[in-house]
Amino acid sequence: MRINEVTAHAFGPLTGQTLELHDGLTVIVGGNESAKSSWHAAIYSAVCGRKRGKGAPGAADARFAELHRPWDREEWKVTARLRLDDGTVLDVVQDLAGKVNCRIVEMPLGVDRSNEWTYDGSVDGSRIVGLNRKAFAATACVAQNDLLKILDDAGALQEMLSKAATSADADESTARALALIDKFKSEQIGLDRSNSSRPLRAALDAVVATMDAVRDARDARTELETRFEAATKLSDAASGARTRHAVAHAAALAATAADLTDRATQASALSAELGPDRPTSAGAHSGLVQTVAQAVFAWRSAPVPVTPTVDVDALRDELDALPALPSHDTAPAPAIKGVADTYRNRRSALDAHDNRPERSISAAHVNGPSSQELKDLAGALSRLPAAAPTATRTVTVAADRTPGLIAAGLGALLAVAGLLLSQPALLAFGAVIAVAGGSWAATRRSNSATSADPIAAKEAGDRETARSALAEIAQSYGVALDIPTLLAAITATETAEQKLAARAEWVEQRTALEAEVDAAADELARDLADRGHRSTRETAWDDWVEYEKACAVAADQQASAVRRAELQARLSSAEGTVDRYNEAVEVVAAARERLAAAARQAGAMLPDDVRTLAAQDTFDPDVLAGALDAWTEQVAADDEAAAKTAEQWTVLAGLRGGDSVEALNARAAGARKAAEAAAVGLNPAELAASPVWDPATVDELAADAADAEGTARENAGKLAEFTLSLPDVADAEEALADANAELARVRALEAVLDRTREFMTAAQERVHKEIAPALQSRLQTWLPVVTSGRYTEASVNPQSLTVQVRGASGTWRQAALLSHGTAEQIYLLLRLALVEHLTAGHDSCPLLLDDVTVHADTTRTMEVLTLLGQVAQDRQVILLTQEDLVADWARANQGGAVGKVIELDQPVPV
Amino acid sequence: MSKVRILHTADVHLDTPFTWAGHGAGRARRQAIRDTLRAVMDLAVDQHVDAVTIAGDLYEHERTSPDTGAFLADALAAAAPIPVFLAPGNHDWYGPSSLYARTTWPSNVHLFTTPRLTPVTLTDGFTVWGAAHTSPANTPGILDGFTVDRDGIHIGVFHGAERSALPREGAEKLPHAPFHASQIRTSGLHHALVGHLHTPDDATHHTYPGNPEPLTFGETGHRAAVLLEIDDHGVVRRTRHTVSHTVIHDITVDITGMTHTDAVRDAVANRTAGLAGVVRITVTGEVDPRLDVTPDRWKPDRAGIDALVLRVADLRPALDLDVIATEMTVRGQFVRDVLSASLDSDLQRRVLGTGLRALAGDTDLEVR
Repeated sequence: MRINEVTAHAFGPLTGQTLELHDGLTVIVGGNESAKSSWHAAIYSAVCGRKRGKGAPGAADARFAELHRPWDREEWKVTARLRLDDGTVLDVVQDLAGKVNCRIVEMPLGVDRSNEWTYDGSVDGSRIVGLNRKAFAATACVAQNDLLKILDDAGALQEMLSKAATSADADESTARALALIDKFKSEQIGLDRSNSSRPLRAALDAVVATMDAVRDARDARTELETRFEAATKLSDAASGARTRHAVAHAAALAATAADLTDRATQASALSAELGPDRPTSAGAHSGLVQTVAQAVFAWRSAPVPVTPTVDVDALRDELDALPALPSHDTAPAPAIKGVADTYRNRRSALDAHDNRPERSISAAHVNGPSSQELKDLAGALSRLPAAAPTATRTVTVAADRTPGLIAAGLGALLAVAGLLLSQPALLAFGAVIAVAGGSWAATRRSNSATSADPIAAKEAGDRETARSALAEIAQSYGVALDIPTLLAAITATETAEQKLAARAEWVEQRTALEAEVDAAADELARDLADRGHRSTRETAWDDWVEYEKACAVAADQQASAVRRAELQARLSSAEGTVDRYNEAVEVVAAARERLAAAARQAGAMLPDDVRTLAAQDTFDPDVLAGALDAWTEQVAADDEAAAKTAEQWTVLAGLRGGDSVEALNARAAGARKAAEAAAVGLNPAELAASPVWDPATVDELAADAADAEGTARENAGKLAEFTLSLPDVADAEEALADANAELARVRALEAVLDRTREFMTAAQERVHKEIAPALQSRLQTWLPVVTSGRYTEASVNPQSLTVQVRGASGTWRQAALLSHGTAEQIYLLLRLALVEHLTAGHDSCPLLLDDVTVHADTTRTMEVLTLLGQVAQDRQVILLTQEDLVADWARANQGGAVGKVIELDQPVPV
Repeated sequence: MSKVRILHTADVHLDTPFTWAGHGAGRARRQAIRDTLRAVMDLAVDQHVDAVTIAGDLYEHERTSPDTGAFLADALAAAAPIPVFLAPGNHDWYGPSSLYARTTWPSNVHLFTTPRLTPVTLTDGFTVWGAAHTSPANTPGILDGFTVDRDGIHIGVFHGAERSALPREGAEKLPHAPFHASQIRTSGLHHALVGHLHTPDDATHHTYPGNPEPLTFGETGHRAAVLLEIDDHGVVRRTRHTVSHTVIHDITVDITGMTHTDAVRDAVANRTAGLAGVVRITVTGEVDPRLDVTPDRWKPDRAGIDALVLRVADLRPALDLDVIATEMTVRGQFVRDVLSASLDSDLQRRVLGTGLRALAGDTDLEVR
């Protein structure tokens, strides 16, 4: 794009003036007051125009207007003719005052193409080269002040690059944008920390608070339902209590009504029966009646005198004649009697012993040989050998004789047994058998002896000798020497010996018995003495017998003496009978007199016949008593009737209860009405089934009902109060929705800010990576030219966009820290490089430079001018200068590097 | 038997929250619902109807205000002696501690309390069968297994979802107490006066009146109280009566090309001038993302407006961003990157606006 011409219709001090510019390098030369700076601003405004927006202008815009708005007219207008790289011609009209009549018109067609190149509300020709008025000012339009800023601030160069990289806008930078995002996020979102007061925390807190409010409101509904159920129960309880009381009350009223009705009915009947007057009182003569009744009773209960039948004097004589009680034992003392019995028994035993036969046995019976001696003799005799012819014969004989011997032996044994046993029969039988047996055997033996041989003879001799000896013994014994005799003697001797032994024993026993008798006698004597019985007899037994007799005598005496008590009782009884008789006589007399007195006391009240009877001295008490009895019964009957009437009257009075019968009837009717009223609305069955409670219970039920109703009422009041205080759920939910919406807004804003930051950071990194090599490449090209080879290499950091240069020494140096002149040159080169980079792909962008070499020395000025001349080969360069050196160079190179020199010689009138 | 006239409504939703309206405006909306219910009762009196039926969701159980019970008792008593049949729904289910149980109802109100249809003789030979939801969910089909047990004309009143119409209500509508339209006749009912589906439906044998008072934007159909005349053959003739005084305005303002907030405000003001009732303004269009379209900046005068909802929707970045995108700068790169990223248009617009504002040095970086 080329700016062919610019007309300042009204701009600062310029009015209707036009500059025609060269497509290459145009040098506009003007000294002080030549309006050089105004033309610089006018050219810029003709291309870019001014921001058109509502609201107060920014400080820079205000400052621009202050400097360049014509102060003597309303109009503030510049126009320009532009020619695009493709040859299109555009006329630009910038109505800087109204900012309405601004346009870009394609010529010669006259087509308004303003809409294609607008920025901030008004047409902006810099849009054609890919910039906007801000970016154009920041890159292609270099003013003297810009250089001064670079020289004053070492960081300004980097900032300028950064801003240019951001948007080519002098006011915009990514770093600031990111800082704004961070700040905005910090302020409008903040951290999710409890101590934060920023919107995020506030929104979260609001959500929690409103959720709590919703929950509380809903809980309150639940609480309401719970309370309602409780209130319903209390209400039901109160209703039940009220019904119970109502039923009890109605039942009580019904009972009262029934009672009153019953009383009224009874009272009406009694009143009709008794009449209006109060009956006389019963028992008016009760005292007299009682006196009479007591007199009758006294008579009736008076004893009947019984005439005594016992001779009291005779009894007294008989009693006087009775002996005294004996001092002697009236019966033998048991101990003494026991001893006496012992004595008697022992005496009897002794007497019985004396009567035994042993007492008569004589000692003569034992003067001959003893039974043993006889037995020995008999034995020896029996052992004498018998005479026998042969052995056989002897045997035979012996055999023949044996039965006899055996019989003799057995007989002897039997006899001995009978003797020993004192059995005469056995003794006799044994002796007979022994004698018979011995005889038969002797016979047989003699037969055999007759037929003995010599040996037998010898034996016979020996036997005879022996026999002789035995015979002598037998003789001395006085017995015959034969077996049966011996046996009989033996038996007899043994019997005698036995008797003697029995007597000896008897004697011994008697001696013992006698001793016992004596001992008992002694004991009896002692006991009798101890009993006080004086011994007057020879033996103790006799004393005993005497003692017994004395006891019998004493017993007889005692038997007589014992009757004294009986006689005394009989006497006492007889005397009592006499006394009672006398007393009864007196009582009867008194009772008779009492009857008479009672009758007299009754006097005229008695029937005439009774009164007459009582007046007689000889009245029959029983008759009078009967008459009086009848009278008292009559009086009692009369009293009973009166009492009954009085009782009925009392009942009537009780029934009336102080009211008249009519009033009582009225009360009953009232009570029935009240009962009926109380029963209204009640369950008749429940009422009928209700017991009739006492008033205290009814009162308790009433109190219970009142309490229950009070409790229910209080609870209902609390429920109503609670209901009124219920928070509005819908309100709470809407508040929650608002809080959630606010939280969502904050969250969404946070997300937008985060995403924005991500995108912006990424864009920055990418652009820096792209712009840094471009800038570096351009610097590499131009730097040796403008520094006369002092610096040959340049480096642009893609992260920080810091610029370093180095020369032959190879040492990298911060561009911003170089000398002013070098810094100026590098700055200018960077501006040129930025223009190239930022407008790449668009029309070529003119450079509008104002005194960009004012701080450079001659050499560097020449080097810069040379560079600008080279740049002007590719893009339009408009250089405004007040330097003579530059003006001279321009004039000298016009037609060459310099396309056109415009002299602003005439000062512009102000 | 002369024709029986019944005024039917449902889904009144007293005490419902209006989260879209914002805190404060919701109260006015809830008051409007009350006014509408009163209008229904007034209509019942004016039309000399024989009965009023309210098929559930009369109120919202968990949100009842302290005086809702008293209000309802008064409002329904106003129609006395016209009987009012209440068939609780899933939002106003009947329970021992529910508002229904806590409220002392006027004598002209008949409250159904069991999920089983129970009869009430309205006139000789005309029976109203009603049922109640007794829990907020899991109420089975009220017509399942039901048949009438007497002669005459039978009208059902209950809260339930007719299955074929349910999809129209969207996914949020749950099939409480579902039924098929065919069940109405097979059960012996001549017509079912139902509630639950908010979209009006004058079907052959059942009637959904729709919520009589607008509850949100975008509601379609003539939502009203329905006056039914039922002849002695059970044939119904319906007339819909608008009972709500609320007017809903759902306005979209295209701000394409507008470069400053004043223009937006002017455009909105022009579109909303003279409007009353409930107004929702949606600003949309293609604008410079740096344009501040925060609703506070362009909200209209609220005079005459009961509830105002402002929103920015489908706002797209203006085309001149393409110019910036050509810049060889961070800004140009940023715009290029954002435009080429897979962002939804709203986020893209907001990121672009935020970034460009930050680059321009703006301190308010929130783009609505």
